[in-house]
Amino acid sequence: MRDFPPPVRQPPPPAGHRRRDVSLAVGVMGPKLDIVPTLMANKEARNSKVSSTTNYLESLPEELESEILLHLGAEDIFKAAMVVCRKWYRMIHTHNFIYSHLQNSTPGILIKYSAHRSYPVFVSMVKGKIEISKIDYEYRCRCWSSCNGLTLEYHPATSSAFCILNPVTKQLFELPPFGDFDLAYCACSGIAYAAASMEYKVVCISGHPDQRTSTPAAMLGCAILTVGVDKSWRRVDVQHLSLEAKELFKNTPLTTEGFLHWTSRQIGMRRMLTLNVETEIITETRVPRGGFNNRKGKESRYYLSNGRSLSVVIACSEFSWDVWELKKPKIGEWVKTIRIDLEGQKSKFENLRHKYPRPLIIEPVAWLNYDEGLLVRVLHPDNFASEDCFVYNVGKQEIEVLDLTEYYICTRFLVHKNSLVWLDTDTIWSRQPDRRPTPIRLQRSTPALFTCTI
Amino acid sequence: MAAETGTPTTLTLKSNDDELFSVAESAAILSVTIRNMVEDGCAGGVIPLDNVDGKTLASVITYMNGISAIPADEEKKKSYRDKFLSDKDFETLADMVLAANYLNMSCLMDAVSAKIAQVMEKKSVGWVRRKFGIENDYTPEEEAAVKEEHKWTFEGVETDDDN
Repeated sequence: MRDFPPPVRQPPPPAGHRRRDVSLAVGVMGPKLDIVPTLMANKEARNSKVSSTTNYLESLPEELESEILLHLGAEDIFKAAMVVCRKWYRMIHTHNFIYSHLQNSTPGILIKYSAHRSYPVFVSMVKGKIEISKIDYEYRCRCWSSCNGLTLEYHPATSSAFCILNPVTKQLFELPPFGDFDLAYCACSGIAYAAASMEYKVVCISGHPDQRTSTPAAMLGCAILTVGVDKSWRRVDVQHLSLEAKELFKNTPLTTEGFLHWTSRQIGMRRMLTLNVETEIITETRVPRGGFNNRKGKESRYYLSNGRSLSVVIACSEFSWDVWELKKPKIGEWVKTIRIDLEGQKSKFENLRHKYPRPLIIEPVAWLNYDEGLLVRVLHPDNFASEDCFVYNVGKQEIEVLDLTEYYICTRFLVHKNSLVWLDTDTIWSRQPDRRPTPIRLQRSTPALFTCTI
Repeated sequence: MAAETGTPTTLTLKSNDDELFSVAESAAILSVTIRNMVEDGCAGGVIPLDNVDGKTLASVITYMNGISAIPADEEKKKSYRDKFLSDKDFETLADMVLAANYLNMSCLMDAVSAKIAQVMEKKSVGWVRRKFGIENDYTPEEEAAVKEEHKWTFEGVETDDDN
């Protein structure tokens, strides 16, 4: 083995690689295994065993080894790297590693058939190439929200409360029941991360107990829960909101960094609601003008989250759109960023003309790694069904067909990252020993995307 | 500072096995470590790089020259990096990670780390252990417990929770 000098004289790592001390973070992904490096095998014995192959990686300082593992996808880390040896397990199970990995990983889109239960696919764009992988969990999809790789879902066993799950690490955390709080629309719930307090918060909309989904907007309320801290849902102040704005609560909120946004494509709606998950204050702000009637009472403006910030894609014509980005969520400051113009590439849609009579309704549905790709689909003007998806490559200003038909006629899209993030369950359980989750039965999963032979 | 005179300045770098290399200052300051030395006025004579051997330093300098010759075009820089790393073996890559870290060159560090990680993509545990010569230091029970984390928990299965 090569004898490297100790890393004493090494300069501090560059800003992008700076890490905090992670001494107590073991067990972030779940305290299923208590591995401490006390039983590290004898080094000499190991060397003699592996003499045929030189262990270049183990000769690196641990920090650099972890730097390399950060470049692996969450699936690879979870299915292989974590099982390789104790040291890797320990390195991977730190808050620092998990959140650095989250920063490093490429966002993509969960795509799912809108039927009650189905397995989504995860589509991402890595170095300009589209990658499609299967997700190992059958979502019911009554709510549809994702933040840092964690998704919000109805609890698979009880169906009476929400749970948070990570489809990669297969962890599930049950949230407290709603209690005296009457859920109006489960689809209008969302999850977001308050970075300053390092807490996840889940928000949902309450209605009148007798009316539920037909509750008038004036009677809609908003409830919030700090995951792992709150035992019951708390009300958020909505007194200051206008009646028009409260109508927005009937829509699924979009998650960005530190905020949840309720928007609407109703004709003439020029407002949106933004909840700051740190302060838990909802503000009502205005949105950019533009867009035209896209039939069925909807405007051709599409609010899309890229995971970090909110954008609105507003149609200028059948084949061109303006993209605005919400730069300052608190005051509602929007900036026009790019213009998407597909007039020159109309021909690529031409072979769809036999299926879809004019005019084509081309609908942007989700960002694939913001600024790199935008997923668009073509809708049938009568039944709004869609079978054809395209990816607009922002850099090259070109579109390419995304073949998803072997999976589904896809109708639900959600910005998502495959991550190793899990709730700091040690902290949760020390605060709430009575809420420690019990084993539950989950739907059998489909075969994994790739199998590990050990 | 020499760079302020306007004429191209050449620095002399010395590896830990006493090889000397001449490199243009404009290329060498891709390394934050070297740039700090230059800015602090310590680069008058020979710059000793005690953690990098001659073979690795030669490679790093090739990279410095290559990448600094490319104008600000991230696509071209990326394809240069890919090409530069395409023929490197594991030993060289491991040495380059160390060198890039010591020289504080984040772009090289990222590229080399990603290249090593790429080898592990979609590979089994056994394959990774064999390829990198890592011994399995889990007991069979522990390994089974780690693999257990790959499954959704099912009713009736005992968890390893301690209370």
